[in-house]
Amino acid sequence: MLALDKKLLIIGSLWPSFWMATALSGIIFSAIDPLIIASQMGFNHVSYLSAYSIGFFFFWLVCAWSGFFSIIFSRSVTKKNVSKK
Amino acid sequence: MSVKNNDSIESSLFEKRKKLYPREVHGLFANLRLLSVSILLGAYYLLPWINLSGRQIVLFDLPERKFYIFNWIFWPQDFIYLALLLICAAFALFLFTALAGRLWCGYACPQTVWTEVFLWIERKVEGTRSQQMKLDKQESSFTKFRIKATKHTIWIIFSLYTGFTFVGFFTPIRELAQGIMSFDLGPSEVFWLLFYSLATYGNAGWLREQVCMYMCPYARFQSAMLDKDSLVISYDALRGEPRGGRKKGDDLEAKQLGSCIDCSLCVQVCPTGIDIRNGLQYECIGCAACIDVCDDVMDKMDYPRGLVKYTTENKMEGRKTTILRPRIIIYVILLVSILSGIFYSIETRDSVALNILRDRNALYRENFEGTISNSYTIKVLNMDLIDHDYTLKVTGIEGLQSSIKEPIKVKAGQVLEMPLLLSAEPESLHHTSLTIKLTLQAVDDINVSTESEGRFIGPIDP
Repeated sequence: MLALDKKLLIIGSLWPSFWMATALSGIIFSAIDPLIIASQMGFNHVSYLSAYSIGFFFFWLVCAWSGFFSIIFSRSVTKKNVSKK
Repeated sequence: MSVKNNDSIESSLFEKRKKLYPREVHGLFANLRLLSVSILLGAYYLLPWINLSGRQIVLFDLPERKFYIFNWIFWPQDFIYLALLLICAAFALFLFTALAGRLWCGYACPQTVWTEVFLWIERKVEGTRSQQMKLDKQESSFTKFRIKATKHTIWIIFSLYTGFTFVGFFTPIRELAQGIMSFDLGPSEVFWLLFYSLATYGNAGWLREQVCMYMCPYARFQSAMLDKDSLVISYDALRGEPRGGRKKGDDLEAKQLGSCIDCSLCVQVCPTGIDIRNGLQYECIGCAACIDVCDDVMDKMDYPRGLVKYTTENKMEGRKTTILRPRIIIYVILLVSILSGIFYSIETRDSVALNILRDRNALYRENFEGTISNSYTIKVLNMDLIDHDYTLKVTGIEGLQSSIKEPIKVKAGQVLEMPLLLSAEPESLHHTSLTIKLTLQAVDDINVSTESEGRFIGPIDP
């Protein structure tokens, strides 16, 4: 089993970012057609559902990344020192 | 925060979970929940199968970038309505929480709704609460394996159908069903089907109350919306204590007992495993199962009902409960005004849109006959439910010639993209860049029209 702080790190960064990614997908893709971005990047044979899915996962990744560091930086440095002893 | 404190918070966040076996309960609130579950799940599973004038009544069509909801079609530019609807949903949640506590959690949250179905399946396969506990304690055997395998198979089939229905809101469900029959689905469709199925199976089958306790943001902040006049489920300790066992008809005063017979049924029925007699706790999802079961016990003991009941803090302390409080009035006013604004705006929104894009390759072109021309791409969006013929008038420059052949025919719900070439005499170009106005007008309906502006670029020294 994973240690408690590792679990908190994984769930705490993946779960809220999932909701943020959902909201971002809605806002961004209603303003910008994802196929236009895809074609400008050179992908011309992408279906809409795939384009939305890739966009969603990209947002999820970015938000999770931010959440991950928020948790890391919210931990006190002193605690890290103590736990290493 | 001290090191010790940090540790205790983290370990209490993810303490080892004891499996709960919520006991089946009957009564008024259980019936209300059954009604709510039936309506919500009925709508979820049936809506995608209902067609209205040849199309699915609710379809979030991603390829066409259009959302069909009943008689309405929403385009990407209508995203503001979705945002406003979400704001309304938040206000509604605040209102109902302030009025009656966690109504959402107990009766309408998808987590509750699907957990109810999974619990029902579990009871049908594994039996009552005590039979389930006995089965889990048994050594591994073929019978145990068979029962568990049956339960999980039914859960998985139900989850897969739920995932299929979810994707069916985004891809026409009949085509999706045919695609599954002929093993012809796109990778994204397969992924989302499995993703949603897994989420249903995991959340409603395995995680259950843990979702409410650890993952739900609403559970964490709902207490901020409660006040002393909000309905909460509460145990009447004054009447119930001292609790203890007794026979029916025993003299309570002689035995120095309160009304609580300490049968612990309220704990056994609780889906989050708390003891309501310890006071209001954030784990309580307000499902009222403890009220139903305690009322049953009170009936059997010939005591008055309501040892556990919906009440307010003010009422418990002998004060008057006020329903129309400032926060309730403010919530209602906000909710009604935003909702009426949304409906008014939807009903009166333009049913046609015109986008104009300049050709990026050339600023302008000089023609044989000496005129200057600019080329554009125009997009006409017919957002109406019927087909239309349109005329396009371009103004802003004297004697401007347009290449468009009228009428422009656009079918209902379609986007027509076409090139537009505008030509002008050099003499009428007083500036390098001039504003032109495009007016699109439906031939058959004077109310259907829209305007858009563009730039016309000419030589530097005309």
